[in-house]
Amino acid sequence: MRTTPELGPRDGLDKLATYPYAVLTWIEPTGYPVSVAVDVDVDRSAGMIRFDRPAGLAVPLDRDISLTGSHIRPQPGYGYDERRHVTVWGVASVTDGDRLALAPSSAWGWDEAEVPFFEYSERSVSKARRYFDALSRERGTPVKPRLSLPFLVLRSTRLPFLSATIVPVVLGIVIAASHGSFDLLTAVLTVIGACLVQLAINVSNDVFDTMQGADDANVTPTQFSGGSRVIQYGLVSFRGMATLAAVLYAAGALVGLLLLALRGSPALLAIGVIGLIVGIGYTAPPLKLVYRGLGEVAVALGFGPLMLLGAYVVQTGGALSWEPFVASIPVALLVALILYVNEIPDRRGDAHAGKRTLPVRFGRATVVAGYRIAVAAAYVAIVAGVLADSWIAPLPMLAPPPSWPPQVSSAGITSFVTLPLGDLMLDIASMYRATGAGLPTVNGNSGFLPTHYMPLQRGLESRDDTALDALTTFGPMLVAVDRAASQSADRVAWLQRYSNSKEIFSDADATWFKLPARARPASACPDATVPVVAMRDWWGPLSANVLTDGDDATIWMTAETQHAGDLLVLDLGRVAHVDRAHLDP
Amino acid sequence: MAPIPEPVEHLLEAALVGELTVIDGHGRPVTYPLIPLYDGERIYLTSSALFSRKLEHIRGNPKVSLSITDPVAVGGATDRATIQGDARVIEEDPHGGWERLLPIWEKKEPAIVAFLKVRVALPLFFERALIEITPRRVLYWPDGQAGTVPRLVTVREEAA
Repeated sequence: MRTTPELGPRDGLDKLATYPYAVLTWIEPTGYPVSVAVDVDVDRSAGMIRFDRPAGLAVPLDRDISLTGSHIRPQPGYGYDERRHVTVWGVASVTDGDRLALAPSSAWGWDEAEVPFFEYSERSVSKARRYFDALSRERGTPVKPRLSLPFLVLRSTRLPFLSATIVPVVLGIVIAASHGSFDLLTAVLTVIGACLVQLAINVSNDVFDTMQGADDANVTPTQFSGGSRVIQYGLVSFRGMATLAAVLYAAGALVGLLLLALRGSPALLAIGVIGLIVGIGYTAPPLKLVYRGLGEVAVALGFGPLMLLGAYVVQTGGALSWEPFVASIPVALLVALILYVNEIPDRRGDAHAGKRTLPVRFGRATVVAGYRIAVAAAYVAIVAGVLADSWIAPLPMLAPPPSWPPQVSSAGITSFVTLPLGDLMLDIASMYRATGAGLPTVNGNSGFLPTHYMPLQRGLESRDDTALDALTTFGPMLVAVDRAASQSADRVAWLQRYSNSKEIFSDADATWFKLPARARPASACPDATVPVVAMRDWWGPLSANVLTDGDDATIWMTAETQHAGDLLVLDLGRVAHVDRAHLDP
Repeated sequence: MAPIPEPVEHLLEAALVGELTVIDGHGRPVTYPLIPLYDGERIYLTSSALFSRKLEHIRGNPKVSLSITDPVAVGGATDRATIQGDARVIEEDPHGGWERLLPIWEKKEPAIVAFLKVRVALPLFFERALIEITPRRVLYWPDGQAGTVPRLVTVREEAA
């Protein structure tokens, strides 16, 4: 991996050969640079670049000139990518008649495919610092890079990483609550206190890492790397960060003391003290846990058992339990893995700074295997914890679809309906049960309520025989009346009264009826015309005029088009078979 | 200021990248690919504090040139140009002073606005100085070929 954009002359020549043309540049006698695009022949074996003299321009043969190759790929709507460029320098000589030749003596360039832009930028931070130092000297007053306050707080405290604190703390509180111990005030204080201490640790680790040169040594940080780098960038001074850490520690300690006063217990005190020692000692001397190969263990301990048990004992007033400890194991592993994966890109810088992280100590295969094992262990811990604690039983599980009772035969049956129709869970159960028996079901829909579903539901719920008549014209039908639903006795009585129905089975879940097929009437509308006595929609009585006046703006009371869920009830004043409705003014 | 020849203006307005050449302390040309931003009078380029060596060179010697040579970066146009001029570094406010050219920059690189919104991710990249070039002479190759003698246009100062 290159550490600077400097290249050897041979590398520069090889790279220049990959560009379709080169920009030839020299300094004119007027003192201005001049450039012209030329086609070049790169002779790799001879280490020579040859090109024609540009017409009308005098290329000097007694001083350094340069050839530059440059490439981008335009990306409309975005900008460009695939940035790379290379420049070689050398003194030109005349060759092959009137051609010129150049043997590179030095070169530089950058190819983002080799050195990603983020890394290239990080490698250039020292240049930015020199730039601001020079600007400060020139103006006689400090000139520094800036960030808006919210961004500066976000970056310097590494605020997004608070999720790794909030999760275990809230989990500890929830487990305590499930054990009957919950106090809102101390719960909120616990979250605030833990967050303050976490932020203090983040900031102080930056301070100690800077003291030991670790952050300066890391020139390949990622967005998730340990350090905020605000000191390296010159955004916050070393003293400023140290002060911020002290303030955050003080605020966290204040909350801790308040919690001790409210829920004082030796266990809480012990957990708090151990947590602080582990947090500060992560990078701070004399412990410097991360420098001794104990960084991952320290993070697992701090974000797992200490956070969870700490939150738990605040709520219980000191009582400890195995459950928060078991629950802390997967949290500990997963949070430690956040650190672990981000140690991988940092491993060169960490090694240089003397940090003995796992990726520094072990090879690629071991590091990858370690990640897989830890992830698997986290999930095994979750499953094992649930099983060991018999937490499965009280979990609210959705009941499995009801089975088809052996006393009920679906032979010769055309369709199946469960009453009441339109109850979401019953509709779903009915679909599962019918599918199991290979029967079409009346219940259920795809999520878009079909227009015929509501009238059918209303017909069945108003115990209208014609609703059953219509359904049985398709063939014999099974009806299951759910016994747990309200008015189930009324539905059963209605089915018992229904012509030729046969009650075939009843248990605590449902009463089953078989309804014979009915012949479809020769004329679906025995009465020639049945006048509409009254109409109403969702909003109440409705005048037929709004439907029949021919004015689009009054149709359906509004100018909106009809859609699923609209309701129009036509009251005929008596039971009648209706084939079609005709609205006539 | 007398105008830059129209075809060269078109190249400046279209170019996603141009080659800025400055002169280092040893009198040697150093070339940097940058996005040229043309406001109709002067040519601007921006330089992050991270890559500020070119600014040091310009302070030492303001004579620069800017070439537009890449047909791919100008939408397929095959003509080429080099503009020689005097550069000035504008750095009163590296944090936000350069943002006055953001509308022109955004036309060429729309993503820059989104990047700027999350400048917290790469704060030093957005600490930038402006390089303002006052054109003095233009070399223009209508066919883009180095074998053709370039047209030379001296850009004159406009009468006050």
